[in-house]
Amino acid sequence: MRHFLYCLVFPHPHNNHRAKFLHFKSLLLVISVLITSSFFFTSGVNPLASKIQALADISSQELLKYTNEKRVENGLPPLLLNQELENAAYAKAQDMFANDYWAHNSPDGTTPWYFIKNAGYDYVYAGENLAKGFTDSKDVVSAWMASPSHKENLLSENFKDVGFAVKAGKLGGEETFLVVQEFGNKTAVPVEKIANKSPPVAPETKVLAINLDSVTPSPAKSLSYDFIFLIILSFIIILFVDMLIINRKNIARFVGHNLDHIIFLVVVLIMVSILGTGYIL
Amino acid sequence: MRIKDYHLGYYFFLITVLVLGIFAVWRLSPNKDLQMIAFILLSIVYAVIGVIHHFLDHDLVGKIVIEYILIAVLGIAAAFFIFKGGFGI
Repeated sequence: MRHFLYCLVFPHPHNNHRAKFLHFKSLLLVISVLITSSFFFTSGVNPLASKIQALADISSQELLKYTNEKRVENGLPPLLLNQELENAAYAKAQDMFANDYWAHNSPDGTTPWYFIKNAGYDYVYAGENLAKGFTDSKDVVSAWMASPSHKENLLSENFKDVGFAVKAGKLGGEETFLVVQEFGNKTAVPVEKIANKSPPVAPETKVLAINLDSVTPSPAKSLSYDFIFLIILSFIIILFVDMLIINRKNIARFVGHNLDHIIFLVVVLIMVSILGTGYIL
Repeated sequence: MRIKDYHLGYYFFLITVLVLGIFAVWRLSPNKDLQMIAFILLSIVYAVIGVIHHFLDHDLVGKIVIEYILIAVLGIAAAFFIFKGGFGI
């Protein structure tokens, strides 16, 4: 058993001076497992796992808490959770899943304001932030804070009320969950800053605040990411050990350059990290 | 000395291409389809560069070609796994 494990990781005459982990059969096995599980697990066996985790870790109350923390830190009064805006956010999330889109405006041109008005919230100011693919409330708010236009909504003096919706479903054929944040104010009077009590200046016209651009990814790591990280890191370490031992023993082999593979796999780790992120809109 | 310079040049070229690939994938966010296509293209380019390098070194054999292809496919499979949502958790 020990010998088998040794041959699995280290080059040895019994494994033709190449760790068994790096043999074609092992590579094919790992590739097959990854591709098979990509289809199998996500589509059939465990489709509810992401929903359960998302709903467990992201809640309106937590989103409100972190949003208001940021507002208070910036000298603004906390937003009040508004049931009408909650209903609007829920309707918007439902509409995105029903019509399979992820945008502020639906494919038929319906704006976020329609949902807010339809929920009975007669706004003077309104705004919307969206997020998808996150697994933690704090990450969602952090991602919004990292984007200037979303931050503008979060820290706007024009908003008094807020409503959230966290909904799981299928978007573009993928299981995901959406976070919708609707802001509003029924009056034209901006909120007063906590730190600075200067008199508010009422705007002359109705203004809508919306983020239609500025798409910023933010980390939303998962167990799947950890699994991939572990697999790729194992290959990198074994390739590195293989390279050191073979160079030291000066053994001639017809194999690829381990250094090439190590560099490429490090890039894979970075790419996977970029791909495994949540998005805000 | 010339051989050393040649290898340094090769690795500089390889790293430049891969860094450009990372930049492309980052810039294509949040379009995951385009990100995945960019990643697949980068993996193919990696395998081709590796094979050409061995060809220029006069030590190219079939096994090496397969090895580069498998490593590139491993990278694609890892990205695809994350792209499809992994285990769903």
